[in-house]
Amino acid sequence: MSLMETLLGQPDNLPVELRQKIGELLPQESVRVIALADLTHAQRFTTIWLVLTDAHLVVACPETGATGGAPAWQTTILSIRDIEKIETFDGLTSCWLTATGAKGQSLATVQYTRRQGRAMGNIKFVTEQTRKRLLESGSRANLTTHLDPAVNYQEAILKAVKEAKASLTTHKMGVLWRLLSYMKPHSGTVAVGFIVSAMITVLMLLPPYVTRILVDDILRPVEHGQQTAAHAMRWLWAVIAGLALIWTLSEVMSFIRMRVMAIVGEKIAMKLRNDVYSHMQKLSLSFFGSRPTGSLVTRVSSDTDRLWEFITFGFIDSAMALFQIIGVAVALLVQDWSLALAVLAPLPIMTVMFYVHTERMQILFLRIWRKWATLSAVLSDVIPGIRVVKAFAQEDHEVTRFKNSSLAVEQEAENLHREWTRFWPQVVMLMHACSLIVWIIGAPRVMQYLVSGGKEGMPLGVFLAFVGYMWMFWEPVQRLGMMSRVINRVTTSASRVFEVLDTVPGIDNKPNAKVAGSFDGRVTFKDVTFSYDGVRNVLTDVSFEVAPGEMIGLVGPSGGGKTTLVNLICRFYDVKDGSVRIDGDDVRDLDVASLRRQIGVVLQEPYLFHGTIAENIAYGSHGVSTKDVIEAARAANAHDFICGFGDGYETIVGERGQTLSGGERQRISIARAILHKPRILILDEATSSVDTETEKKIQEALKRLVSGRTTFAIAHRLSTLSAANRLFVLEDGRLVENGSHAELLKNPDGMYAKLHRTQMEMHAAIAI
Amino acid sequence: MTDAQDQDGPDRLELRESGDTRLLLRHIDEQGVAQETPVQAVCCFPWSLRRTYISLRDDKGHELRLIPDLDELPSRVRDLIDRHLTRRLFIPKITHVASITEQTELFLWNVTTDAGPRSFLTASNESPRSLGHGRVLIKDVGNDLYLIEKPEALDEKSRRLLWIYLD
Repeated sequence: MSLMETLLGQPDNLPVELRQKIGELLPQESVRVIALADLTHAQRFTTIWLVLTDAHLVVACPETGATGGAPAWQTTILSIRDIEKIETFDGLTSCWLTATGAKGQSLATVQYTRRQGRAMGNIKFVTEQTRKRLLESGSRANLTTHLDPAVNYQEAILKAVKEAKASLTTHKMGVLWRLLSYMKPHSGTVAVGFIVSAMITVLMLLPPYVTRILVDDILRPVEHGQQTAAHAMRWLWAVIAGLALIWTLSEVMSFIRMRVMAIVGEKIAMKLRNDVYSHMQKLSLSFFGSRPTGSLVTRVSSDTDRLWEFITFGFIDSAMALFQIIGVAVALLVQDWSLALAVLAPLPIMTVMFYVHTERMQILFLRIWRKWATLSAVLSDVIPGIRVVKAFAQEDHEVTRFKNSSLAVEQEAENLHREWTRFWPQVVMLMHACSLIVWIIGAPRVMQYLVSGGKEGMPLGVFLAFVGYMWMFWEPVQRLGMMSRVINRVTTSASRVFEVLDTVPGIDNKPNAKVAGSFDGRVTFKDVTFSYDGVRNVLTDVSFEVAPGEMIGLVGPSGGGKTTLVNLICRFYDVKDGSVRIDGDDVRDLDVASLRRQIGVVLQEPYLFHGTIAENIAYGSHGVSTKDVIEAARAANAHDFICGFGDGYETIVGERGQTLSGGERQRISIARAILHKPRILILDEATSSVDTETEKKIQEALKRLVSGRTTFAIAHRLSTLSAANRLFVLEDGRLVENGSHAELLKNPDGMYAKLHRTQMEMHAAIAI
Repeated sequence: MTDAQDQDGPDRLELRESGDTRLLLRHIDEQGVAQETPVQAVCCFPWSLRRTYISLRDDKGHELRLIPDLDELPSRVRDLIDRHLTRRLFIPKITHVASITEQTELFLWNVTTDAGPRSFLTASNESPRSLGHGRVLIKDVGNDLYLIEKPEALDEKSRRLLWIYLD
């Protein structure tokens, strides 16, 4: 069964019969996009397929009343040319897609739940684009050419699942084996750990046996006068010395085991941690885009730590628990097999008891944890808002709210305490019951032994050894009961870590990548087409050439492809069609590091790392002197405000550091770019969200930065692009206009002229 | 196409349905011109007040009309809006929980709803939301919603499985 069927109960491709039927109905066409509408108009779950072919949209409903065999499909075929408008609407859970004809008549309406939304969006998009292409022959649509309908449909449906979960195909045992393979380089040490653990187990089996010797072979013979006291005394001392030796040895062994395994575990965890982090650095931006930062942080930190815990304690402990149970069982069986069976019988019951208890406690912890979360939510909600509470005189109301959550915690805690306080006495009772069985069966046999003078029955020493062994069962049985929980936790952590390691970096150096020399800065786009999701083109057939030192302003509505364009210059992504060349070299043939080292980026929201201002300015530049740093800061109009801080250039900034205003952070990042001496410069909305005075200072700084460098500047406020040699207007992923400010204004119907007019009007309105 | 009109009062509501999907509202726009605009009916309090404060909004999200109480409208308009609201606010109601299994980082639910059987996934850090009156709302990873109207009225097994997640 496929993943989609197991997880979502939804087919992962068109049924064969339907595919055949569509093939017969539209023999010349191939299927391009598919989507599933899972709701009827009466709001019942169903399976209605939407199939988009080269020129038709097919709606296929399962035939009602069909019984057994292959289901029949009732199809409605719409020509894409007739679909004037295709729209989607979202409700809470039910969404719908309607196709409307030229006279406003409804051609088809299907209803579906949100999980189908992305696939339906693909249907809508491709329908619109195909229609455009069919009607305006010659115009190329923003449509990728090679679509695998089933793969696209599956990806659209599973995207939400993948975002919530690390990896979809993990077999617990496979993950565990892979984790254990990390022990290989340390196999010697791990073997020592194992052997020592095994020896501890064996040693711990000895004391009851020694007790038996003490009673049966030393004390009893003296009692019966078969031995002299002096002789026995010597043996007695030997036995005591033996016991001392056993305990000392086992403690030494425990010491070795703990020490060795803790260190090996730490080494393995470190290797995993470093592997994960350095692999993460290689991954493309899209990897980081699709996962919350918090989840990536825990993978490197707490997940690897949990693996340490498992390697150090969990793994050998579980193995030893089994070993110990078997050892004790054998020891018992050897002493007296019939009594041993009586003692062993309750073992499975106990394992199950511990298992159930662990599971139940887990649930109770989960519940109490949720109640605590509510309680702390109340706190962190109200304390910062205390002014509002007081202003509205809501103190009493807030106290009641708090008391309610507090009560909920208390009640949940009662449940928890009830569970374990009930469980442990039960376990101890069971343990005593087992002892009683031994006494009930064993004591008469000891008596029989005494009465018969040792001819039949059980010697006292054997009996005592038995009782001793019995108490050794409990701990390993308990550990076995908790094993499933441990394995669950560890496989979760391990699969989260392995997911990162298994992600293939999207952007990598070619084997014979050329190390770029110093760029002149000629940037050429030739028929560049790019898509993030494989369906929608974000850039379509973009071609241009930018001369060294030229400054280009990128303008156009948001979502037009401006940021994507600069991302392609940095090679954060690879183009799908066409090429991006710098000084004539395709960026894909260049060594990534040598390429990016020559590109400077100033972002809208500059990011400063934790450290001093000087370190932040020098980030990414090597072998720079203090003088260089100051000069860069001066050029960026940052020197003066930096000197205003008590700690000067050694002021700590970034997280938990000195708070800087947006304009100050921006100028530090400009200083960083100036010091970096890039050949190509990218300014992504560098001057938005600062006041006019600061903007002037930043503009000055940018002017110095830009001079002599090929520059791409993205801006919403056209006034900030006054220095640009040329402006590129991007709309819907196409380069629609290209020229200087004056040239573009000459065309009053042009996109740029329109943008310009709106902004001038807005400016005038604000000025009044 | 169906037509429905409120004949009384100055605030008469002229609403009709286009095809079987859009509501069209006849209204006077800013320039004082009467025209027909496709609207969506939005419920202001979807969880507690289904029949009051229904906002009719155009596709740009501007409110053209706020209906204080659906039941004060003439039956034809009321039924029309009702039908649209029902579609928009539809949420499957869980009637039986067959299993909730823990997958790595996710919970897989197999349930029966009033719309038929369904399986869905919830993120393990996403807990159900309590809507008051004992109602519980569950959101899956695809943002689909599921409602449990009366958890205590479910069968024994369902309640046992749900106990972990509910308050």
